[in-house]
This record gives sequence, structure tokens and C-alpha cells, in this order.
Amino acid sequence: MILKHATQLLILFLIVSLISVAIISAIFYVSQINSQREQLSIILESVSQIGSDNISKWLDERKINVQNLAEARLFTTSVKDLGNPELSSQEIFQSRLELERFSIYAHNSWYWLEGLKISDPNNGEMIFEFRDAPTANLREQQHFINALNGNIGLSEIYSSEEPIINEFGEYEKDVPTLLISAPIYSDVGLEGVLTARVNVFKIDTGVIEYVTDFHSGDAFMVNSDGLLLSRSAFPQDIVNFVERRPELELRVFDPKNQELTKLFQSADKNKPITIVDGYNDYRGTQVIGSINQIQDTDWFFIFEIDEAEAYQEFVVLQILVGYTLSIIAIVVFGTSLHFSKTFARPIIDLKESAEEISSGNLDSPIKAKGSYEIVKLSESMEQMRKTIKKQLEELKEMEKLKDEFVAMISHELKNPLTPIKLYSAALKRPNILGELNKNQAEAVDSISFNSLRLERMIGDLLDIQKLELGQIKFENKWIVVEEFMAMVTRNLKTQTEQKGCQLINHTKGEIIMKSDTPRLAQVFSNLINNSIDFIPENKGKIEINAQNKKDKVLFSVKDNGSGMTLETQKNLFQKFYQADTSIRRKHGGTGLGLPICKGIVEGLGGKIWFESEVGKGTNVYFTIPRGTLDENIDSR
Amino acid sequence: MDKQILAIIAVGVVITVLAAYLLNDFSLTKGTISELENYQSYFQTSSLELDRQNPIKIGILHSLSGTMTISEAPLVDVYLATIDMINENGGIMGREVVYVIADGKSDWDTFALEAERLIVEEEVDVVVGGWTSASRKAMKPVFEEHDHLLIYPIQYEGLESSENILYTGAAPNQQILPAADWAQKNLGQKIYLVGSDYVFPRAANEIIKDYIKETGGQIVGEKYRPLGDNNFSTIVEDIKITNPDVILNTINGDSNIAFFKALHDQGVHPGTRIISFSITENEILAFNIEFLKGTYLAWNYFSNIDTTINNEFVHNLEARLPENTILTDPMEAAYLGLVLYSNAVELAGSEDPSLVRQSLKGMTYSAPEGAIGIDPETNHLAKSFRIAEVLENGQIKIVYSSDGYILPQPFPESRSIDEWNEYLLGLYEGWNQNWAAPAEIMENDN
Repeated sequence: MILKHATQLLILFLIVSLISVAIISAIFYVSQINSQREQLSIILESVSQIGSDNISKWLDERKINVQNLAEARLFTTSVKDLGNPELSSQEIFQSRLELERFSIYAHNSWYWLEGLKISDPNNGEMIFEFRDAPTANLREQQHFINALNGNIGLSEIYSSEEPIINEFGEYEKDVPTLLISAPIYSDVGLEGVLTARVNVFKIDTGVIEYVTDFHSGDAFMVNSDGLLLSRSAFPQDIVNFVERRPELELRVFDPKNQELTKLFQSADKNKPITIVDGYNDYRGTQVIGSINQIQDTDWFFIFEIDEAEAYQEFVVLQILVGYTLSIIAIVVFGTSLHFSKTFARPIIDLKESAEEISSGNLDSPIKAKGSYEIVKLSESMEQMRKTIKKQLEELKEMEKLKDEFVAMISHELKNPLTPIKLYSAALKRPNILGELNKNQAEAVDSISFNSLRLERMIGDLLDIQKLELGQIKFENKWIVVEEFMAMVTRNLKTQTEQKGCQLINHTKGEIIMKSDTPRLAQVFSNLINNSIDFIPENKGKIEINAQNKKDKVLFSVKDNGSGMTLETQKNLFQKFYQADTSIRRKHGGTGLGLPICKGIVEGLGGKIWFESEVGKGTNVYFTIPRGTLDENIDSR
Repeated sequence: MDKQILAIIAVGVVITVLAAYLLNDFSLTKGTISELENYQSYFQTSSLELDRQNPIKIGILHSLSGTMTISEAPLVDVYLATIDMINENGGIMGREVVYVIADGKSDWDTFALEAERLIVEEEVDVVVGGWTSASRKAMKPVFEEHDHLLIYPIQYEGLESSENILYTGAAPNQQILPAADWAQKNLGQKIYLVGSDYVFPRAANEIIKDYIKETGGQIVGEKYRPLGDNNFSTIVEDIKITNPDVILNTINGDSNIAFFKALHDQGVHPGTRIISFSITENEILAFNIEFLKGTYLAWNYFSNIDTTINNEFVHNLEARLPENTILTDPMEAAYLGLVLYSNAVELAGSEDPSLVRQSLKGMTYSAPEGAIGIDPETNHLAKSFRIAEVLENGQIKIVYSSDGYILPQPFPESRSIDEWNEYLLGLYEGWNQNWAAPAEIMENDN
């Protein structure tokens, strides 16, 4: 139990330490991450702001470019000539050539210009095209109408079916395209509408640029449907230029990305929305980003950083925290193991020693390793063990001396009795020492009687002494219980009849046992003599019996004597105790009869008890094991 | 004791899991390949369905055997590449463009016969081809007779105009004359003319002589050798004696190699400047560059013109041509012929040659060489002119470009059309009714 508690305590301690470290780490982490979030938020927002401003500026510049082209004199006169019915085909041809030449010049100068067309302002029909197929009439389009009204018109961005040459010199279709329309005025009025076709992807060259320290930084322009309009050109990442080519196919953000859709819906003009919590981009990668609507358009500028990079320091921090926790755990484990060795183990050892002492074994020395306190405690306990052991040994020695003394005394007392007995007997024989007178004869009888009594008392004392010291060696011989009981009855019948009482033997059936016949006879003698003392004269009756009970034999002595009070019953087996001192004097008992009986019965492995009621009599029972019968039945 | 061990193990496991969780939380998630594929399929454009039942049929007529093969065969590759591109972008009016290749066998009568066969038997909608003026002049009556359309891709001497021929190469005023002008202004007034003895060099030099006369220059010599002749020692001797500032070279074919070797061996080159009218970038490869470096080439187009449109053209065409092909002036002219034809058919809405011819007139286009257009009066192209210098490493460097296009003048103004025709007739008759000098006439000093 101590062991278990100690372990529980240690584990508890361990967990508490871990939790406290974790809490400290978490507080540190959270404070760090909050400051980083703030910084990131500022970076993202400013990039997003600058990016959208740049695009806005870029668009303004393109509008001015287109307007300048439309206002160029050569351009204007050539357009005017195209529709002049008075001119010869040769002259018109030359006008067209001039437009072609001018267009090539513009195309060569302006990387964003994919093509252009000039439309008749009256019916919207195309009158000149440069790298532009005769597509649908633009008359209905808002940007065209704007141009007719003398303003620069910007179309919605659409996916162009006309192939363009991408940065790899390959034809590409479905390119996000923007049309910019401008009116062409001559000195006489509106001559046509110039519509420039702008490859929106080209915005990326130099416009969607960003300057941050993040490698994963990626800038995009998307329309409100999430269609990718342009993206940063990774100018610093030329090595990966070819590798990232497949990514160019990724024209659209994940259409299923609801987070992004929500962003568009909630985006406000010129007020960047920044998300530092991380969301999935089209690659399925967690990113953080900022989005800002581009002025005067329905487009959005997005700047994103891979979350992994943005919080890279925190990955390191997290790893550090993780490792710290692990190290702490290991340390706490080591400590707990150390504790269990230096603290719990000695306590457990001490507890085991104490248990041994309480069970009576005082021989094992108490010795515990460990802390100072533990060592001191074990030393005190060892001192205590030694003291107890010493006192106990002294006590035993004294007891032994006392017993030896009693035995010696008894033995020495017995020796003078022999001449007393012999001379008493000789005095009673007239032919040896002469005839005695009646008074003398009575005195000799008294001496003889009391010397016999004294001898018996000394015998009893020696018996009880031997029983207590375990010096009696019991016989182990075959007994036929029926015969034994008959012998007991025969031997004691005289004494019973002297008091005019009956001794009845009830033993029936053949019982065989292995035990000590003389000692059993002694028990019966004592018990029956006891009963004789208490049964009424002439009416008294003593019944003895022996019954087979499994592996034991149950013997009983019943009398119809005076019985015993409860107090008497309690002390019955005490040495030198007698129920009635008057009787003692009367019968000359030593008070050792019953203790001897108990000693013999228990010595033979049995039990003795009695039932008694005042006025009704006493029943004494005792059991004796039958011994191993089956093997040696014939050895008697 | 067992319980203690179990408890320690349990706590250890908990800590390990905790640590693993903390560390794992920041591992990067990456998009899977399948995601990428989804997006790619999202952007795949549907291929255009061509009308294959009613194709536009183009006859390609060039010498695929005989002496001209080496010059003409590469143009066939250009035609096929261009047809490929046109079909890839939806054909003409959604109709597939198909072709028939015929072999002119470097024989002018064969060109005429094959042209007749293409028109009558193959029922082609247009014929592209011809290289030498001799072959063109042989074919011209055939196309005029059938009121059909020939698109001819080579610079030539001019002095010709036909309703049934679209000339996409340079007229004399777009190559020969500006070159002579540039030479006079930049290299010197003493000019020596040398050429192969057939109609183009003869007529070209006649035009130059008229021009030089007008501008006050001096022709110090004029010599011809038959096509394929390699004996230039006499001419080089003459050049050494006359000591011109510049040689205008109209020698055709591999005779040039012998000529330049002779010039180099006799120490004329380097020293005297030379402008060649018939050496392309591809032919430079056949020369010892020592003989050619520092000389000039006069063309309308060079492949290293630095415009977006030319870069696209080079990229797209080179991808479809045999490896290491350098795009040359005749190749660009050949390409333009088909592109203009394609646009004209779209514009006319019909492949009928007479309708197509009408829509070709006045058509303009942003060509690799610059803005071009079909002069409605002459059926020649307005073209740009350039002079390039051959560098030591065999590359060329454009040293002069005309300011935009030059309108075509097939008949130089120095003489009337009748006078020019008379001159040509004289050559024709002088060569026994042939457009080239017979091989046995060794020398024809003029």
C-alpha cells in the first residue's frame, strides 16, 4: 500500500510539473504569436494596399497609353482616310499600311498590348484589326458606348478565345483579357473607336510585385468570381521558373473555397481585409493573406504567405516547447525513479521490518539506505529491536530459572518422602517395629496418608512443570479404546464405590486409535477423581464414554455433581485453582488436576472443554486424534 | 512493482503522444497530384473541329530534284509548317487546308506542265512555288490562261506584273536599289557588278546601272559567269585592277563559294566591301567564314529582327521545321504568301481564285519583317529593306533597316514599261529564247 501511494504521489507530481510547464509555454507562445500576428497583419495589409494601388496606377497608365494612341495624328488621319470614299484604293491601302506599321510599333513598345481594332462609330463594325480576329460587334458593350461618348471605356475582364503568346512563346487560349476603348477624333469629328486588347496576365510583369522577406509570398489579382487575372512573376525565383510552369495552369482559385468567396463579398474598397488565421488556397495549402479591392474595378488584389513560413519562427518555438516538455518529462521521470529508490524503497523496507518484529521475529537486523532522516529512523528502530530482544531474552531466562527452581524443589521434596512412606508402612506392620497403640496407629495412618498426598502433589507439580516445558514425551501406541475404557472403569471403580456412587462405562463398538495409554489413563483418573469430589455420597453417578468422530475420538466424563458457576468455569484450567477451598482441604487436591489434563490432551493434539450447570452436574469432553490407523493397524 | 512500471509507461506514452502532436501540428500540408490534375483538366481547351469534307487545296510547286532542290526544298517545309499552323488555329473558314506537292525538277518547262496539272487535274485552289525567274516566267502564261492564282515567294528583278501572280518577294526597288543606294552612301561611289548569267542578275544590274547613272556613281566593272560555274580568277583579277569601293554580288548558288574564295585568296577580301543579294543565313554555314566575314547581305527579312511578332514567328515556325533551320527571307515570304492567302479567303468568304485575288488587293498584315501590304495595282508587297553584316562567328548583324515599308515598284522609273519589256525580250532572244545563258557561252562581257 505504501508503495502504491508513493507511486501515485510521484506521478501526480510529474503531471502537475508537466502541466505547469505547458501552461508557462502556452502563455509565452500565445504572447509571441500575438505579436507576430500583429506584425504579419501589418505586412500583409501594406503589401495588399501597395499591390492594389500599383494595379490601379497601372490601369490608369494603360488608359492614357490607349488614349495617346487614339489621339496620335498619324493614327487619326489614317483612320479618317480608311473611311474616305473619295480616296483611291492605293491611298486607302497606304493608310492601312500606316495603321499596320503604327500598330506594330505600339505592340513592340507595349508588352501588354495583344491586339487592337478600330471600329466604325456608326455601326460598330470593324474597319481595321491588328492581331485581332473580327470578333463580335462591340456596339452594345458599355466600354464601347463610353468611348462613343468621348470617354475611355474599360471592359469587364473576360476569357479571350484568341490565342496569345505567353512568356514561354507558346500559344495560350482562355487568357483573361481586358478591352480598353478610346474615341478617335479627327478635325471633323469622331472617326472611329480604338479598342486595345490587353492581356491581363501581363500585369504581373513588374506590377504585382511585392517586397517581403517571405519566399512563399504570392500575389494575385482575381475578379469577383475568383478567376485568376494575374499573379506575381516570382522574379527572384528564376531557378524554379520551369518547375512552376504547371502552376500556370492553375488559373482559378478553388471554386469550392467558400472562405475566399466570403472574402470577396465582404471586401470593402481600399480597406484591406487581412486574415492571419490561415485558410486553404487553391493548392490546398494553408496560407494567410490580405485582400483589397482595386479602385474603380471589380477586381481584388490578394497577397498570401504560406502559413508554414509565416509562422516559421513558431514552428521552431513549438518544436522547442515540445522538446522542452519532453526533456522535462524525462527529468521528472528520472527524479521519480530516484525517489522511489531513495525514499519509497527504504520506507517499504522499514515497514517490512516492523511487520516482522510484530510477528515476533526479532532476529533480522533493521538496516535502510537513503536520506538522513530515513537512516536515523532505521537506526532508532534497530535500537528498539535490540532493546526488546534483550529484555525478552532476560525475561525468558528468568522464567526458565524459576521453572528449574520449581522442578529442583519438587524433586528435592520428593526424596525425603520415600523414607517417611517406608517407615510409616513399617510402623503399621507389628511384626517389624512392634505393635502400636491405637492412638499411635492413628497418628501413623495420618502420616502415611499425608505423605501419599504430598507425593501426589509433588508428582502433579512435576507433571505440570514437564508439560509446560514441553519435556514430556508421549507414547504413540495402538489403543483399543473399548478395552482401555474398561480398564479405566476397573481401576477407579473402588474409589467410586467407596463413596457409594456408580461409575458407568457407556463405550460401545470397536474403536482403535494411536496414542499414549498411561497419559490418557491419567486424564481419566484426574477427571473422575474430580467428579468424585463433587458428586453427592450414595446418589452420585459418573458416566464415561468414548465415541468415534471422524479422525478423532471423543471422550466424555459426566457427573451429577454440584456443577460450577460461570466464574469457576472460567478459571477451571488455571493452575492451583480450586472451585471450593473447603473441598480442597477435604480432598487434599493440589489444584493441578485439570491443568495437567489440558496439558496432556493438547500435548496429544486434542482439545478439552466442559459443560456445566450449578446443581445439575458437569460434563467434560475431550478429543484425541486417532493417529494414522490404516498403515500400522497390525503393529500393536 | 508491476503497477509502478505500468504507470510510468502510461505517462511516458502520454508525453510522447503530446510531444508528437505538438511537433506534428506544424507539418506542412501539400496539395495532391490529383488536385493538380483537376485544375489542369479545368483549363483544357476543346480542340477545334475542322471541316474535312470541303478542304482548301493548296498546290506546292518547287524543284525537289535537280540543281535548285537545295534552295527550293526548304520552302516546301515552310509551307507544310504554315499549313499545319493554319489548321491548328481552325483552318480557313473552318475548313481544313490540304496540299499537293509537285516537283518542278529544276526544269522550267516542267514547272509549266506541273502548274497546268495542279490546276486542271488536282483542282487546287492556289499554287505556291517557283524560285528562279525562269520558272516563274514559264508558269505565268499558264495561270493567266486559267485565270488562276500563283503565289511567288522570291525577290526578283521585277519588270513584271500579273493579275494572276502575288509576288511576296522583293521588287527591285525593295532590295537591289536601296542596297545600291546604301552602298553609295556608306561604302563608296566606285561600284563593280558581278553575277550569274541569267535573267535576274542581268536585269537587276541593268536597273542598278540606271540608278547609279542618275545618282552620279561610277560602275567600274560588270562581269557574269554561268550558273554553277566556279572559275572566277579572271573576274577577281579584273576587280583587282579596277579597285572598286564595293562589289554588288548577284551570283546565285554554290558559285558564290568559289567566288569568295578567289576574292580572299587574291587579297581583295578583306578590303573591298561586298554586298550579296542571293546569300541567305543558311548558306553562310556552307562557307569558310573567313571568306565571308565583314561582307554584307541585302534582304527584306532576317531571322534576328527583334520584334515581338518576329520572335513569335521564329518560335512557332522553327518548332515545326527540321532542326537547326534558320529562317530566311524566302521562307518568310513563303509563309506570308500562305497567311495572306488564308486571310484573303476568309475576307472573300470563298476560295474562288478571282474573288480571292480581289480581296488580296490592299490587304495589310503585321509580318515578321514589319508592316506589309499587297499593293492593289502591282500585286507586289510593300516590304521593309535591311542590310546585315556577316560577323566573325557566322552570325549576322543588321546594320541598316528601311524606315518602315517600301511600296513596290516592279518597273523602275528610269525606263518605261515598254522599254523594260524590250530589254527583257532582247535577253530572251539573245539566249536562244531562253531565260538563262547557255552553259557553253563562257564569257559575256557587257
